Amino acid sequence: MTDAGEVLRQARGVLDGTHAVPAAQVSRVAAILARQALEELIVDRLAQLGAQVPGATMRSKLVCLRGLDDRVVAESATIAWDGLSRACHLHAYELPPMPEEVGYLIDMVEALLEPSRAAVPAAR
Amino acid sequence: MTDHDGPDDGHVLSAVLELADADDTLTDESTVLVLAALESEAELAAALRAGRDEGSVPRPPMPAQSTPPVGAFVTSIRVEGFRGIGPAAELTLHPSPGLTVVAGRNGSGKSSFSEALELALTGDSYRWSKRTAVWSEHWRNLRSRAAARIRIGLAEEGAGTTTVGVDWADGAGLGDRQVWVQRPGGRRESGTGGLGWSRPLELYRPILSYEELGGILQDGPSRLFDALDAILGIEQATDALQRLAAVAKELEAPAKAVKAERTALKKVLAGSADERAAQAHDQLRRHHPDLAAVEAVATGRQAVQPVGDLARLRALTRLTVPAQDEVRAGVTELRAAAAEFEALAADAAELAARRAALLRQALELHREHGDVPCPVCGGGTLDAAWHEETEAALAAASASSEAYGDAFRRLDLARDQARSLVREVGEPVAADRFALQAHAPALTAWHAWSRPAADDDELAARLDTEYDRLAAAYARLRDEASAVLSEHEDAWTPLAVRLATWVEQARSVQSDDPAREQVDAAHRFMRAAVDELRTREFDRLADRAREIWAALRHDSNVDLGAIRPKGQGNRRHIELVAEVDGEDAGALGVMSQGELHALALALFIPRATMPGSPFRFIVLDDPIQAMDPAKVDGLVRVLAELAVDRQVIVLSHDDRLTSAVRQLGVDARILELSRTAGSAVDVRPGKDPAQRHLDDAFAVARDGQVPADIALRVLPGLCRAAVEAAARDVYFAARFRAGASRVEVERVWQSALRTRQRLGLALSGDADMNLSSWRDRKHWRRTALGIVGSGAHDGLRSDPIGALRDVERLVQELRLP
Repeated sequence: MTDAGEVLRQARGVLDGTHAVPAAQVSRVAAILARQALEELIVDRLAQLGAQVPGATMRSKLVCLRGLDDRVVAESATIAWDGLSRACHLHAYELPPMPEEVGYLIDMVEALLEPSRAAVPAAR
Repeated sequence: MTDHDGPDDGHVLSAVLELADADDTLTDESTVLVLAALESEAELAAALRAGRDEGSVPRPPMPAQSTPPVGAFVTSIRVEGFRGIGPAAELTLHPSPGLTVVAGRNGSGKSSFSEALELALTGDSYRWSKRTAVWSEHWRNLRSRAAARIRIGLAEEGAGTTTVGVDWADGAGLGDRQVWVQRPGGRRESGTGGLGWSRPLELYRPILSYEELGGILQDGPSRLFDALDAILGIEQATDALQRLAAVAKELEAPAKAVKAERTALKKVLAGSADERAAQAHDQLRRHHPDLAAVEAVATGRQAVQPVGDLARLRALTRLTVPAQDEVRAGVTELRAAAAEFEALAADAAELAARRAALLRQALELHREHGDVPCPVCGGGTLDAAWHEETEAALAAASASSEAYGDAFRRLDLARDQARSLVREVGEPVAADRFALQAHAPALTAWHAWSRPAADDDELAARLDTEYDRLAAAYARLRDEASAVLSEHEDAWTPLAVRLATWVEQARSVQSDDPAREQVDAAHRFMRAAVDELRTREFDRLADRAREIWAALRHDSNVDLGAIRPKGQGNRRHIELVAEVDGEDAGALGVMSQGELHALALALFIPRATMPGSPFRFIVLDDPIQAMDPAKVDGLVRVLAELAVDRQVIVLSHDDRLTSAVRQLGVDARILELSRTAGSAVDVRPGKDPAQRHLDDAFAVARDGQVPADIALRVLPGLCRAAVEAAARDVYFAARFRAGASRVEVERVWQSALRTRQRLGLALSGDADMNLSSWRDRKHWRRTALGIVGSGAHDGLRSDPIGALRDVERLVQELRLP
């Protein structure tokens, strides 16, 4: 849990320019970090629910989460993971994601870290 | 939005009543008018009549029964030979709340479906004719030789499946289309009028394309104002305002006319030489003219007649002289009497009479005192012989004296008559303003006529010689005066008529004064009430728009502030306040194209989903062209929320929306369109909610890394969700096609809590259906029911993939018609 939080803080730091990352790579690096944090978070969450699925694909994990956890949490996690995955990879003809977009996804992951704020943030 | 009452269910009435209660200045009479105006034109007219007749006050209209408008879902859109679609292609939709995404590359024909829907429903609307001008040449699919036709299937609440058709004969132009509507069990009706949708379509616009989204904000401020104002659901109030305005204007018209006529009359009267005009003018100048006085002047019944030149002129027309023979007779008599009297006077008749009187006294003296010396001469003696002699002489003398008296009296009478003939002729008094040529000669003649005469001879001579001149002069004067008078009256008569007419109108207006004041007060009140209601409803709309904006804006730094109707008439517009990083940025200039589209959606969606709309569907054609991915996610959330009680159909040209739908776990049906050679359009069902749950289940089951106990915890829920999603689609579609009420269908669905009950609803419409014989007929049904029920999960434990296949088969067979 703390690991996920720490990684997420780093992601935020990259996005805010506090780490020496080339400007063109800021969004992607932040997205990669945030996705790592999210993945750890999901594993932790499943573990809390008594569902250890260490080797399973991320898709299976998200499906399990939907089957076992709060629907809103599972949805947020799915959106965030999909968004961050898109941001991590360079797709043909696709521009790198906007920092604001990645920031928004980081917001979602942050909300997941804080179970009481598990809902999607309406605005920053 | 659902907590907001519909437009026709009395909320306007109660809101207006509340405002009326709070308004101390509004009289009971005006309140009655306001209520009647809210009801109908006829009620308002009746209330006005009642008010005028002091009759019974009409009872306030009762609030209408609260009934949500009958809704309709789209069941199918079938298109042939129209736009991008050649051979017949059908888009089959689930006529129930839910999100359907129709995905296809640009040119796959998806917009042709939405255009076909719009053309069929909106028919000849202005908007359509404007659009068709652009592609009127290219509407017909070039590759299609067959006749063009469109069929729209609608599931109407309370009616069942209704078909709207559009047909073109071979070679017919776009405008030469036959549009018809067929309700279940009914005849084919020409035109779409039978649906009663022309107004709602304009109001709620359930079909919106990408271009129109841009247009919403670019059509000009008054268009946006009108578009939003029309859907606020305060039509009842704006109608009432219009009715009151019309009545106020109607009542105002005569008052204005009277006022205008008064001004015109004053001008004419001031220019008139007539003294009656002056009298009338004097009244009209006053703040409150005495209508009775004006009327008296007009009709010539004034209590005090004027004594001016006009009266003199009128007198001149009445001047007379005695008749000629009368004068001649008078003259002859006067002359004769004078001659006779003169002759008798020459006989000294008077002396004789006096002598006789003296002798009569002497006789008296002799009779009483006997013979005495004569007291007159002193020489003679008054004796018997003298007495006898004197009495005889006196008898003879008395006759001569009587003749004298008679002649005297005759002359006196003749003179009197002659003088009266003179006096009878009145002086011709000059009417100074009316200069008459005949007046001076007549006056001279009169002076000559009535000059005092020295004696009877002169008098007779005057009458004799002056009469002809006088008579002629007077006749000329009379004629001239009459001519002038009639000319003068000719000028006055129309004025008098006008005055009298004006008095009548002014009286009628005066009698309407209290009514007019009441109507004016009611009108003023209603105008304020409409403003107030509009502001309130706008706030409601704006709240919803801001919610949607909040969901869509994500990476935008633009905050949507107030949305308010401003200005009136040509200056009416919607004030949109945008804040950038908390700073008021005023206008729309700060927004990017994508943001403008998001904003347009934020305004359009509340409008299309107002409770008053009969459309249970909304169609969005490519809403995300200029949107970035974060906004797409937001939009999908908004759409999913809408889809809870609406049929939301989104046409999308790329897979961003579909992938967002998949990733967000939103329940949605996805239809994929593709076009092959010859404009043949293929509609393939993409993954629907049930299939998506199944796919997820398969993914977990196939993932060897997921331990069996965890899979067992997850899979039954996914299977249950898949079966329930399929059952729901089937049940809802069947009920809506049969015309069932949406509220009722949803209630029944919600009260069937268990998967078996829901399956029962899908299979037979009966939640309590006994499933055992149905279940036993196919082996997969038993396994599948075991999984979705609360029973054993042996199947899942021993052969999870096989068990999931059984569930999949159950879902597939549910789907079969």
